[in-house]
Amino acid sequence: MSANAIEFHGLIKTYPTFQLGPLDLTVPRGAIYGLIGPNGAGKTTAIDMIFGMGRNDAGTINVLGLDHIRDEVALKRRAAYVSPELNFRLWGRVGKAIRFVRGFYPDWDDVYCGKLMKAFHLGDDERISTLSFGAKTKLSLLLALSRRPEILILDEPTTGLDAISKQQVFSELLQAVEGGERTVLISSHNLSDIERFADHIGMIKNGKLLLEGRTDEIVDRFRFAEFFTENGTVISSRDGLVILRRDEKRWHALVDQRSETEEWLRGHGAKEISLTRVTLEDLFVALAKPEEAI
Amino acid sequence: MTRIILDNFLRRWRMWTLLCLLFAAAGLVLASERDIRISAVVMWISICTTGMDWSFGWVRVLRSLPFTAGQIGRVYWWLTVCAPTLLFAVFSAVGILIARLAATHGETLGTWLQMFIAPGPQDKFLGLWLETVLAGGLLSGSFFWFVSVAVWASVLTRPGKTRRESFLRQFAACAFVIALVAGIYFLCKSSISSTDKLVVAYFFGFVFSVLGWIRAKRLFIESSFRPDIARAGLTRGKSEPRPGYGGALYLIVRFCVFYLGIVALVIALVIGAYGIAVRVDHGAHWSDIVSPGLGELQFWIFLMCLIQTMIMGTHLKFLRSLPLTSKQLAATILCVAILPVLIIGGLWSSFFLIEPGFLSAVSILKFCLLNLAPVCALTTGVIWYNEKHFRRITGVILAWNVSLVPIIYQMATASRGGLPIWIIIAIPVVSVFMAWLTINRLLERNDMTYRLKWEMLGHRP
Repeated sequence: MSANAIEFHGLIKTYPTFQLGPLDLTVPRGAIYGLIGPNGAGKTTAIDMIFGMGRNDAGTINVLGLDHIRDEVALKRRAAYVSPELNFRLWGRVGKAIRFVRGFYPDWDDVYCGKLMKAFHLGDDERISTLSFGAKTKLSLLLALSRRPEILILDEPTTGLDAISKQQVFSELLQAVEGGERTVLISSHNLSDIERFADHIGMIKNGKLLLEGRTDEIVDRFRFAEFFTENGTVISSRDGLVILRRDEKRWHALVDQRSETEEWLRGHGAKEISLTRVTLEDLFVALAKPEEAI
Repeated sequence: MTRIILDNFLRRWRMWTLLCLLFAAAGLVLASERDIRISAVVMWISICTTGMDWSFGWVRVLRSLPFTAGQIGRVYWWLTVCAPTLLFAVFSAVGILIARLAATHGETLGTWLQMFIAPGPQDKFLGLWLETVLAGGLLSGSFFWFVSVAVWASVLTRPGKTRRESFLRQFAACAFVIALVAGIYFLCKSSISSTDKLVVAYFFGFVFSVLGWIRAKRLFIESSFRPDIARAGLTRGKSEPRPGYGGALYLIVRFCVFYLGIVALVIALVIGAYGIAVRVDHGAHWSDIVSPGLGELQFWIFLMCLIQTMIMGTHLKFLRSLPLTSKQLAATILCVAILPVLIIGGLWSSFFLIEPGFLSAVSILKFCLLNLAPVCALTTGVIWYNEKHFRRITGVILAWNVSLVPIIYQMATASRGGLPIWIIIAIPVVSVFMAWLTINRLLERNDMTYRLKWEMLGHRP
């Protein structure tokens, strides 16, 4: 059995104005994996492809050792998808949507479903069209969690949720992954949530994976650097160094501590280098910012 | 306000051009077939197409602009009632004139002019044209009021605070439909003179048009209303899942019941209002009474197919995340569209098998089987989605028209035996197979199928 829950190998999807990949991404079993990236980076495209919404031009996707095309049904029985884009209006009422989805999953847990309905304040007789945006997301989550999936894939699950609802959603998610048997892949723009809850992250920009690894290790790897140079010194971004701002002699940059950039900077005339910790949001903004803006 | 109107004309110039062509075509037909139903169909298509912006979220964009609700409501009225009526007046005149010109080809100019301007009977140009424009305008105004009153806005989309209130709303909608049927019955009653009928119809058309104008503001406010607010944080019903079967079968059954329910209602209305009023007076056979329903059925089958597939099209992302292969999902979508047609065809021909007999039943069955081709074309067309809207819509309309050819041929040549039976079986089989293959491929390969389409029914994120 593979140690990884989800594996993307050389995945490519080409559009007239955008190319996703080649993408190699690995989500370990039992992890809460945060997939982050700016708008239009290809997060939703990558996630959609797991569920067969569009076909990749090259590469493979393996979920729990199952190929996403060949073992489509088996994969979908073991993985659940949550997104605000999922529309349930067709079923009219909450109870009917639950009844419809339950029919597909032999492992459906009615008791857990009832518990979630209480926790999310969803009644079976409630009209789906009258649900708030957040309540619809909760319904989507309820339909996903009640089948006790081994993998939960969430695309922007906290969009439109207030702080209390967000807390509730994450608390249910954490309960669901307790014991390390379940895996969660979560794509979100809410970086403080990702930093708090995700133990692994992957960052995508322009369809390419920039970073991947344990959240704490990645955040710890990077530092904000402030340094001074003599007038006329030119330092530009390179591997392991992202120049963020320059005020005459004073420079602000993001430094990858693994790349021995500090020594390189000193060798190029940088003085008084001071390093400070970054948050995931700082890191995201620094790396995801369009290059011409730096 | 002028900017909003101009913006609509510039953005949707293709739609307006097509409408103008449709109006001219209606004029051509009206010149020989003086049937108010032609105006009704044309104006209904017109209000559905010009009102598209309403469901694309246009109304919420306009709300942010510096206009009052009344102004925006009236702009909408202008665009859906007034502009189409004016264009209908111009282009139906063109159509009628072309028809007249063609009919009088070879005659002297003097004779033709005499036919054109001579006062008197309504079959002269001015009488016919005035009648057409008046009917078109009043129908358009009435449709606007009908939509705004609104079975859609008030009864279906806005829920009642209690189930009782919801029930009362739906009851009011039913009462309205019954009143409508009574109106049709009145119009069909042979003992009332056609002049009286016309006066009554125009009177109500005028009243409804005025009511539509008054309701325009309210319609805008109601369309901006977010149903979420009605919830007020209260949970309704039990916090436990309902018993019963689910899965794809549940979807098919639910859709079929809905589809069949609507079609059955229409058949009942047609038989009730039209059949009894026109036929019973003359002591006709019961099969003569239900026969008009067959013609009406055709329209409703396509309309229901379109609505159902469009609704389903907005849920494809969710449906695709369920443990179904693309082939199974394509088959489910097709089943939802085809099964009701087959059930209706089966029931309808069974009735005719009892009386007048086998030949009539087979004829009905052939008709229903041939209907599967346009139903398949329509279903595939609705599932197919890309950013080139005009090309897509034109393609779907063309495919649908082509798929209608066998039915038209069969109807035209029915008395001479019509199409051979093997063709009648082959056409639906090939159509269903082609549609299944195409839908499967769209679900499998085209990720646009899952995107954006949810906006089509005015879903508000």
